[in-house]
Amino acid sequence: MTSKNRWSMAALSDTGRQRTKNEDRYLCDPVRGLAMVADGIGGHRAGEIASSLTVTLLDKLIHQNTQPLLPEQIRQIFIETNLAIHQLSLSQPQYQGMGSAVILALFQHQHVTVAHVGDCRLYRLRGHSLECLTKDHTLYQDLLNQGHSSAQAREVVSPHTLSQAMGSATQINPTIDQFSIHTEDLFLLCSDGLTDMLLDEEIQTILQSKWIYNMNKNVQQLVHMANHKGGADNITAILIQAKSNYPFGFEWFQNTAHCLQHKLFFKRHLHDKRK
Amino acid sequence: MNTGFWRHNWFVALLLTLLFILTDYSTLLIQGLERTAYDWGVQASSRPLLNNPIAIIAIDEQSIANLGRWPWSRQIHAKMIHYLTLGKPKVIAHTVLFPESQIDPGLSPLLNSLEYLKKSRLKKIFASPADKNNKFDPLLAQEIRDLESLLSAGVQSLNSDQQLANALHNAQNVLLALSLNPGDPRGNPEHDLPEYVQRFSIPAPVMSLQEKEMPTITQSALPPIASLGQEAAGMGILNHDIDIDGGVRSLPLVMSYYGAFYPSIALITSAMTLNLKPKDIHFEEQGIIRLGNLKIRTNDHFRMRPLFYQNETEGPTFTTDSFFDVFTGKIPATKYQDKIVLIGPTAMGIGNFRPTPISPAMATVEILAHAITSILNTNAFVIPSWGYYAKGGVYFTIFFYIWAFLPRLNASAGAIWTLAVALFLLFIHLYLMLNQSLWLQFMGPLVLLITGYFVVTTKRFLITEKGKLRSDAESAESNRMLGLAFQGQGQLDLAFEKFRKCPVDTPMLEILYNLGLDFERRRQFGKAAWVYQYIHDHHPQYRDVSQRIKRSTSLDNTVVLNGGTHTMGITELLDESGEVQKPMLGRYVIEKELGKGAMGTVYEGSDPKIHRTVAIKTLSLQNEFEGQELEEAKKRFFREAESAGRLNHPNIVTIFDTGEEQNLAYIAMELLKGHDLERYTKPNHLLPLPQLINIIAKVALALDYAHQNDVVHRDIKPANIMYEPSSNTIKVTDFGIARLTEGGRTKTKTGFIMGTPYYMSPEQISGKTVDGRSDFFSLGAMFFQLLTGTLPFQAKDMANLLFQITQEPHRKLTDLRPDLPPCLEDIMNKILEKDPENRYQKGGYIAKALVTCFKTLPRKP
Repeated sequence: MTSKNRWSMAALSDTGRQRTKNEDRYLCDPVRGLAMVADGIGGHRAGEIASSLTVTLLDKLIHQNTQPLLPEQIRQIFIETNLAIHQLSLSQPQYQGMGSAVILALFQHQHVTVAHVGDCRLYRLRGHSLECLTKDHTLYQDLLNQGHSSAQAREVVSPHTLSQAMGSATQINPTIDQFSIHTEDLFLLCSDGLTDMLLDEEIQTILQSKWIYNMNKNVQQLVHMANHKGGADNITAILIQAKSNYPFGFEWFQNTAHCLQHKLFFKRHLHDKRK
Repeated sequence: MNTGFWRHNWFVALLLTLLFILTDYSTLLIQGLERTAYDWGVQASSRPLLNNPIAIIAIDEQSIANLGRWPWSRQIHAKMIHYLTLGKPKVIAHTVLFPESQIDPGLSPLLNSLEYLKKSRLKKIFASPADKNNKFDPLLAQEIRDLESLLSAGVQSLNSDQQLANALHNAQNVLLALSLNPGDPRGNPEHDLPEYVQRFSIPAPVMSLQEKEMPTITQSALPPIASLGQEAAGMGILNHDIDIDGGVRSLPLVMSYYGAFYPSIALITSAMTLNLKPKDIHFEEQGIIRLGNLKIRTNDHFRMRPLFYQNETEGPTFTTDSFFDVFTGKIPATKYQDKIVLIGPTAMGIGNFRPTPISPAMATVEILAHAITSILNTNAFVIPSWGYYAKGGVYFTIFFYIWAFLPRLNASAGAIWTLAVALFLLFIHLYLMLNQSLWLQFMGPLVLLITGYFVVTTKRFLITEKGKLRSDAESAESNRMLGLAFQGQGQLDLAFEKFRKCPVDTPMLEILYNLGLDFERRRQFGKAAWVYQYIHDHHPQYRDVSQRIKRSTSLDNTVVLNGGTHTMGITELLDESGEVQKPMLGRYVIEKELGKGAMGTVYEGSDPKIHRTVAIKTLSLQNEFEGQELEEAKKRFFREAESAGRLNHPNIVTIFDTGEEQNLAYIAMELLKGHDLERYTKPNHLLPLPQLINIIAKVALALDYAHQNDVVHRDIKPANIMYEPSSNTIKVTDFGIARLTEGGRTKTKTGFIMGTPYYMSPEQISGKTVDGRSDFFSLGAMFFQLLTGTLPFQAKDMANLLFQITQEPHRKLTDLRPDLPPCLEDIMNKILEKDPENRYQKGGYIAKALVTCFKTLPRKP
């Protein structure tokens, strides 16, 4: 049985310790090699509407486009999605000011195309070095990019203030990059709920831990650890690796990734209903 | 959380198979099914008999009624055998056991009398009539002899055992029944079987037999009494096996008793029929018993599974006559010529009845008849030695089928295949029984097959159900989002179409409600009513949905009615009763929408009591906050509104009233004429300097007044200053409202998107405490823009802008407008100081400085 999925993915999303609901949304589709994490911003239900809209619309538009996608196509898809969300927030007062940070990683052949807006990140563990491949779209990061020191920047702005987000303005400028993939590379897509709680070294330790061959355990550990350290925000993490690295149970991982995704989806629903 | 191995098909199939094999071997559940299937097979194979050599003489109810209570005197049996002998039957098998002597109580005194007579002198005296010395009357001698013979005859007639023995002796072809009690002997027998029994034993097998192949071992015996046994032509065991359900499906052909082997009565009867002796019965390999040229196939322990026969017509299979009818000569003895005659009880109470595959109750003698026929026709069923392997193989095949084949089929194909395999198994089972007389136990595998099908189907159903629920939820979410996207683009119909595909839960109700409002806003009241009706169908109590249905429906009708009059300039909407129908908010009638603000819509309303026209600013706080935070936000809102309401200044918008309705907080305020200063920020639309200085000075004074009343504006910008050029009126609006938004956002969200902070003061940006002097910085930024058409800080992005506001000096005013007086530059520099301490400390000072500076301006002639 040869599977057409070349990618093993494991994903987990959690409300965290301090929020009452999960405004993070994600999508992981090993068949298409597509993974997305969106972190919604906005009052009442607007945050989750924004993140959900982002994931749904991006997914739909990517689906409609012919593969493989070029970076320029992805940019157009982002712009289109942004406009749709922005229009909704303009026409509906209850959604005013909503937006969503989003990161999209499309694994194609020997490279990964990453597009993001906001502060969701992509990490890559290669050998013994964990590297963040994305630069947040926050005012703080923008100041650092302009050569200001972090002390200076911190005095001026809060590190969490986004400089752009899906749906918050008519204009959007997603950062799109391509990286080559080595067979042993392990990728992590996550929302700021994870990275605010954990230091890079801690993430690296977990990813290199004895569970190295079990992505699900790894992803659970990441979320667990973030919760342990406070869980101030919603936490979402997706791990992706080229499949050949996993010596057994390919189907298993894939099934589990789906399983987790849907289980959470339901939990979230139930949770909201109870409220 | 994990996809465990227990969900795999191989595991399900293996578990089921093991469970079934275990059940098969350790419980009676499946064995019962196998027996039922066997009975079907026997019934199906059952065939009519031609030239049936067996006749049954049944000791039935009629015989008992006429010949007296059971057990009968053996005289009756003797008479019967005598009578039958006349007809020359081939062999007579008597299934009644005669294990003890039958002694009539009159026999003993009669015997004593006879003995006495024989020993008496009378006898001696008259012993020889020819004695010459006999002086007695010869007649007397004759009388004594007669007496003796009478006594002898009496003894003879009372000694029924002897009579029967005589009858057996006379017949020479009567077989008697022997009862052996199965069981493992623990030692040696109490008595060896008497010689008259032993003579009917059959030769021991020449080959060594496995334990399983050994005949059933018995531990005790119940032979007929010696007088009868010695006269019997043969003797056979009258035993049959009783299954757990009480039925008889097999009987032992041979049993062993302390090393000797005895044939069953069925076997010995068959042998006698073929003119064979017990010594002609031989054991052969594989459980075969050879009888002359007949090879009788048996199962383990030499048990035969006989075929049961049926008559073509209704009625008994074998010729059965009532004992009484034969006894009384009603039936001629010649009827039994060359027949195998079986005598046995069939009457209720004395007969032994057992269920058999073809009958729920069959007397022992009838079972015997079937067994003899089976032997003579070699019709017995056999479980072949490879039967268990075959069964195992079929189990394995079914296991494989459930594991690998069944899950790959769709539901209907699976059902068809399973049915086909089940029918095939049944067919094989029946075919083998009918044509090969082989019994393979396929019912276990068959039930496994059917159970496996249901388990696999159920499993699949559950999984697809789960998958369906999952994809339902996914597609609901997707539909909801696509609907929202459509709504955002104003394609409300498409949006509603998508929403209708989602389950109606609480968030969905809210979304639908908003869609209804959108339709209303567009005056598509029919569609709005439709949406409200849809909500009402799912949640009749949702907000004011019932009222909205009524209203929208009536408005919809109005629009239709007024279709023709619309051109006549009537813009109000009238309902059916002709009344003007306008929405209310608190005590205000909403007249029209003026625009949308940061947190809600602004309406023009009127207070019907005092006929005052007002602007009503609504804030949907519940969109921004929830729970505890919402309560706090409301409190803060009303506190702010109250303090702003206290302000009474010609340059500050008057607030009349605040209130809350349906979670919609609102502020009713003075309706302003004119426009805001937004339009004067473009370089080619700048206000003339005197006018501008006048405006800024008035705003500064208004701020001064507000600050004295502890109200900080926090959001001074051109859009918040209303200006009516004709009356030269300036009004500052939106006191304190900015704080609500800001406070909320920073408190609830770690990440938020910056608005447009062009007019923010450094302390506002860095989140420090803000007082009135912050308003001056904003006023300065606005003043700068109104003077130059550009902002004091110019950055390529927002981060840089914020950095500049907090860290870098603003641009020089005179660089942009060299025509301005230098005093204005000084004022600007002081207003835009980073540190509040270095700015003007009061609005009044700004106004004063501006006026002073204005006076230095060269007057135009």
